Amino acid sequence: MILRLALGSLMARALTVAMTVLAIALSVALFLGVEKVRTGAKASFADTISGTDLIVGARSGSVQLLLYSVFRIGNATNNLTWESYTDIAARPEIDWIVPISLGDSHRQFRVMGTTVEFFERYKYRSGRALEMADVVVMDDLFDAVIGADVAATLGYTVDDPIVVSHGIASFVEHENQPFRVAGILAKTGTPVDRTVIVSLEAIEAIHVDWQGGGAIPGQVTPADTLRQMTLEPQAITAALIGTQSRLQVFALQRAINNYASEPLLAILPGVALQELWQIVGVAETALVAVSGMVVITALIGMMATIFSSLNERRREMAIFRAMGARPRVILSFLVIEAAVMAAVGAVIGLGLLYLGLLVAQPVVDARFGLWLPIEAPSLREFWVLVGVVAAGAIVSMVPALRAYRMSLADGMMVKI
Amino acid sequence: MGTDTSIVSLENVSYRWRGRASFGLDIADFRLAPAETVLLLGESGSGKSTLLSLICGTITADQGAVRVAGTDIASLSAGARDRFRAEHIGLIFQQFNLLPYASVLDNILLPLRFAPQRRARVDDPSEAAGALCAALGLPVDVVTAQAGTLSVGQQQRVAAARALIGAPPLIVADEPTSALDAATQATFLDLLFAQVRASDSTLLMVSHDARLAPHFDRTVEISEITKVPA
Repeated sequence: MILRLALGSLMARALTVAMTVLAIALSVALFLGVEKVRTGAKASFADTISGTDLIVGARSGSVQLLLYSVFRIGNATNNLTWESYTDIAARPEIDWIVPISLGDSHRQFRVMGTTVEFFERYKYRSGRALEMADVVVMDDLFDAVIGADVAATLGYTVDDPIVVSHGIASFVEHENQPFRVAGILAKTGTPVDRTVIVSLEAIEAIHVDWQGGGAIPGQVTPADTLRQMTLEPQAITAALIGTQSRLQVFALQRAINNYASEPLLAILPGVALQELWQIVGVAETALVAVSGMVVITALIGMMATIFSSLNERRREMAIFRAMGARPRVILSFLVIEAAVMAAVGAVIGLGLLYLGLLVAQPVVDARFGLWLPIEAPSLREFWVLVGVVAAGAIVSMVPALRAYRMSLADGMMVKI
Repeated sequence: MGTDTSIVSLENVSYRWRGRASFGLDIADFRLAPAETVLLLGESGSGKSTLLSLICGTITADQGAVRVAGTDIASLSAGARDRFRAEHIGLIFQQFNLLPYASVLDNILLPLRFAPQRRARVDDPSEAAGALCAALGLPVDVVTAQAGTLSVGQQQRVAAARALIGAPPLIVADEPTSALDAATQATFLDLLFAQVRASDSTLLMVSHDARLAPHFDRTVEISEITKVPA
């Protein structure tokens, strides 16, 4: 009956109550939304590369190797010789190995030389493969496949010509050997979106007429001649490795790290990604803190609303007292009211979150490559909701205690 | 004390409001017999409300004993006093008696929520509430209405039904008719008296209106029972 009366009392003040509930709902939706984006971003980040057991490159640091081989940020300090590459590729633990050669660029995007196997082996977001519009992959030496962002930013379509620049942010172009856009990859939310992919041989081909970082004047080998040539690279930047068995990963990593003829480094991408996230992830704590404060603000707003309603509700309290209600009942009456408001706010907030996710999920995935899964509330989210209701009840104790004291002093004789 | 059958007795009671030294009440002797109807007359500021608060136990006397149904109010803890009030006293105020957002039924049943013994005396609370409403001349479907939508006269009758439910031994009414016009006043009093007699309750009504006196068994001027404060 007390609960029914509390509900009735809330209904009687529907407008004020609705505003308070709305504030709580919005803050809860914001908080949970930030949580979703945070975990989504973390998961997307951790899923930038999956299915690859090891990444091999010249010896530097694990984060640095990850940055340039996967994120195409920064440069390799050294290369991996083709000899070492073939030597490692021949090891029995190797299931597959994909070479990567970086160093050139097209406009603001990196050009990556690799083999056709890259499209098959590179996986992201728990094993999703790269998708492409109906196109034959790199039939010709001068075929290029471009990421979704490259196509969108530069407005490229299939069969458009691409001229690769030598090095990064340079004005020297490989203008004699233009490429053709053979395919455009679907958006992945990974650095592949910002990459121009060509064959390893093509990287060699455009450098045939070059020596020591500059074009040899007057020497232009015709494209058809280049197509006939056997183009084997001297060195590559890094290689992605899949092992026969997961159990062999550590042994292979140790063997590569102790490789005698060249200082090499093999890293576990997952571990390196986590290390990198620890650097990037500081912002997430700030984000959670800010949205947490929004929830607290909403609850304090509710407390203020209850406070301001106390005076006009003295008569109501006096009736309760006259009917034999102890001041304790008055206190619990107000706390129940607050808990109900917080609970309704939390539930509506959850609803808003799912509504927002339904609307935003495809847009966010397409535009940012950030996948926000729509799933039942996690245990963590459940506790957040419980926490909001509990915090609402606790916060309401302040005005409720005042009502308690007021009703003790007023008794049942309030003349208003 | 064992022979005292008074439903209410105040002996040498003295009370001073904190912080208002000059304002208080001193009563030498005031008793109400069972099933008696008493009109207590007094001007505003004469201490009527203080007397009612003492009887209802929301304040306790500085000196002397206030007994209701043989129990010394001061001997009870604060919580027990609240419960005692719910069990033994039905209250009607001057105005704004009801929770406006609650249904008439919930308003009438509210005191039973805090008084298990009084609740136990009623077989079917909803039915009893309906019967009281009917006896007090309220429409049949009134119980489901929201209390705030009723007229002032109807609200006072609902308040009377709330005070009467479970037949508490004492009904205390604080100027219940002052917000009503003369015609409604008379009807209200007639209906109230009929129900008070039906439940064998004692009625103590406080008013400044001496014209109500003929309805009552006894009329007491508050000045007759108070001692001049020293």
